[in-house]
Amino acid sequence: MDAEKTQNKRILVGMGEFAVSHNPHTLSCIGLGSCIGVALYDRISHMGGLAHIMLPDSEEPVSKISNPLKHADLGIEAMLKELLKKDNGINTTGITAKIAGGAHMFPTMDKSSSMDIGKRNAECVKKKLKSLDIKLLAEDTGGTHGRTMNFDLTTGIVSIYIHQQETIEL
Amino acid sequence: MKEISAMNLNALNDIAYIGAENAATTLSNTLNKKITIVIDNVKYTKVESVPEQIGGTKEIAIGTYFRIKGSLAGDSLILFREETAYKLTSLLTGSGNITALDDTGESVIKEVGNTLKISYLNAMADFLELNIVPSTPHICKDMTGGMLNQILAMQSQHSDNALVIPVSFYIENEKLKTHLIIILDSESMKKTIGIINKKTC
Repeated sequence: MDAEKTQNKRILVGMGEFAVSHNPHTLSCIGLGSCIGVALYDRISHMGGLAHIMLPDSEEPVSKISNPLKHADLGIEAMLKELLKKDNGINTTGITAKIAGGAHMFPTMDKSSSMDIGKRNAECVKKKLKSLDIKLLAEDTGGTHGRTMNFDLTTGIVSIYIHQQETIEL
Repeated sequence: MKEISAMNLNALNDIAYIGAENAATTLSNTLNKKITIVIDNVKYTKVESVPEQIGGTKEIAIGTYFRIKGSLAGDSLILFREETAYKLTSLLTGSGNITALDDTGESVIKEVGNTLKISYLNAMADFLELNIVPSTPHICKDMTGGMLNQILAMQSQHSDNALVIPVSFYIENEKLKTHLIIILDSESMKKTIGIINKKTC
């Protein structure tokens, strides 16, 4: 095996990005607020992807969107495509999902002015996963706190760090 | 809204500079302490690049959010890193070492944020000859990234770009850095640049 494959590397996924990799790597979204981290995993091949979704489904034609990956529908689609391309052995039925995020960060801000974006993000992500026939195994969404999400591709475990709270494992 | 010119950025720097001067005067008078506020170069950047511009997303910060209303529409966030907020509160209230924000501390941070935003928006309104008003502030203490992506997501349906203004407070030989982030919707940004172009050419 080459060095890159054996190294226990942590890959950071920024807003409106996704990453696809394999064990023993860890994929991370740092400081999710209303954004959602969508982790897709194939436990046979230990391959997976993590997308950092910012916005609900795209309403405009793709050509008009500056970064399609920001959106729930287009971001998940693009990540799944990349995962299937890199992981020749599997089809979508072997892939499962775990999601985290979708908070409402400013408790005193009324939800209409924030457009309830966190909740809508979560709804759009779940709808997209369902339409792709990907089983949602676990989620930690909502609330008024930020989350950091670490996705271990060796075990498929997603750990969620929340400020001044115990780490949650999905 | 695409690129903006160096001349436009100069004008935006000038506005921020005047805003900072006014904020420093107001705070110095209110708190009866010498406070200097210095603005570094204003950056006009893609919304997704804001986290790297302000140096990371995992640090805990106190954020003051307000909406910009009136002739311009947009969102704004002032971020104080946790340790900066404590330091600022202890310097301004003279209450020694602070390791947690009580109600007083929170209101100090809110007040400093308020003064900064009002001074900045007034400077902007004067220069552009527009009516600009801020909403009531909302405060949050959490990971920087979490607050940022809430604000950026809310506004990125209307705009792809943000103004990042690095602000430094100088109080009693201490330098405290913070950031003011302004995201105007594309129409408001166009309007702003249009007026700047008319005034500076």
